[in-house]
Amino acid sequence: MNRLEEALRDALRREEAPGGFTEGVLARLSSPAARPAPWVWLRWALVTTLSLLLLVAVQYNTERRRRAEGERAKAQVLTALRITAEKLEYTREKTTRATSRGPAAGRPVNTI
Amino acid sequence: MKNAIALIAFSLLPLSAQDVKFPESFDKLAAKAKETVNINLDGSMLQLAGNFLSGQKSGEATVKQLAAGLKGLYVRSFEFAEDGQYTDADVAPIRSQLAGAKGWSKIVDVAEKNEHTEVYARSEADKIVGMAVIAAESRELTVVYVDGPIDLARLSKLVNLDLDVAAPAKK
Amino acid sequence: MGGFRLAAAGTGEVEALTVPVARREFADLVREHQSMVYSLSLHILRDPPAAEELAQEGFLQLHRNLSGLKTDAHVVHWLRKVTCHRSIDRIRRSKSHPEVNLASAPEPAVPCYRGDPMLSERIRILVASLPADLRTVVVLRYQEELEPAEIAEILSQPVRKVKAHLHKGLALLREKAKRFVGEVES
Repeated sequence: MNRLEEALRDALRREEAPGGFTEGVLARLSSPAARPAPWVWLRWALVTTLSLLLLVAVQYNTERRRRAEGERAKAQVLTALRITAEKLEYTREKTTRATSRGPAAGRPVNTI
Repeated sequence: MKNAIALIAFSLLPLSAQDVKFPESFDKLAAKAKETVNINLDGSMLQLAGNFLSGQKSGEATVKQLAAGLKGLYVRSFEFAEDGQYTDADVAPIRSQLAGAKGWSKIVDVAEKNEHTEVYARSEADKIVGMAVIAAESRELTVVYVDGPIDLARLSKLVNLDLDVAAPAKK
Repeated sequence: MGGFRLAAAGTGEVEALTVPVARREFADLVREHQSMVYSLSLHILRDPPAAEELAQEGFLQLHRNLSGLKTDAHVVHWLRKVTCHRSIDRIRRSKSHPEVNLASAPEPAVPCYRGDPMLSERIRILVASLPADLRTVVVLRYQEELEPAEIAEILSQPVRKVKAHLHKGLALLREKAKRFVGEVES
């Protein structure tokens, strides 16, 4: 064992805790301060509630956007297919008219 | 010359998820039109729309069934205040795509004074799996491209149905 | 239980390590281990009031966690671990405990001799001048007589890191301390 290590062991030997240490610990145990203050629980409850509210708000917003997008898409599908049906019907009518008038009236290639 | 280049360029475009691509000149037509309908619905949007279509109301139920199998639905429709706002050159790129694409053939071509309507269909195993309609009038141009199997008999029912459709986009 | 031993373990004290905690009063536990806990925090913090407060808080925390500790050996290990970690955290947080620069520790007018209380105080000041992590390793080694593997478990560090800290801490201390204890054998 070298001299430094000897010196360290001497210097760092355990010391007695100050007088009344144990009593101090026991006193703190039974004092209200030793128990978690109600406001700590309240804070956690508040944080949890706010987080849940935020989650609900985000979900609601997402659902609202999805609904708006869905309604828009629905309107577009209705419009697009209506236009398609009208054009085809118009074409069918013209083809029928042309066929009834004879080949000179128009030049349908084929009919649906 | 520019139109010829556009024609060649568009005819060389690889066919992808949207087989028929609308030419860039349509943007200029939209600027000139008094009313425009611009619809781009891919598979996911059609599925979303389907979730909001009622299976109970007769019109919407028909549309819901029609849209169910589709992969895409695209419409460009322009209504102009006066004649001469577009030319054949504006439509030529689309005709060129359809003429050169595999499986596509023209099934209807009706031309009258100032009106020309063409219907193209794409077939696979005797089923129509795609349709394009080009309806050109003096003050209106409409191009519709339907990607996916379409029930024409069911489609024709839509003509007489009172659908609660939102007004097309106006300028 | 894991080879833990006190600085002056006798048969009675070793037996006490295996006594179930539930059978002992909490006050007895405090009395038995307060010296160890207080000394650890005192030698690390070098601030008696702060050391006392930290030591008391450690026992309050022990009381809350007692149900999870099976034997006295667990309690000893737990107290060492918590005291060291809290002390290190306190050093890092507190501006009032800046690490004393080794060079600023004043030198004695005359060389010290072994057994000289001034020497021990001088050594304690030098230990307090070490960075927190080196200081803790040195204190655990020479106050608690722990082996590097045991220190590594307490500090949740690899053994090689503990050995490196110990080696470095001793080298720094040796450099300064040789003026007080003469040339130190390596």
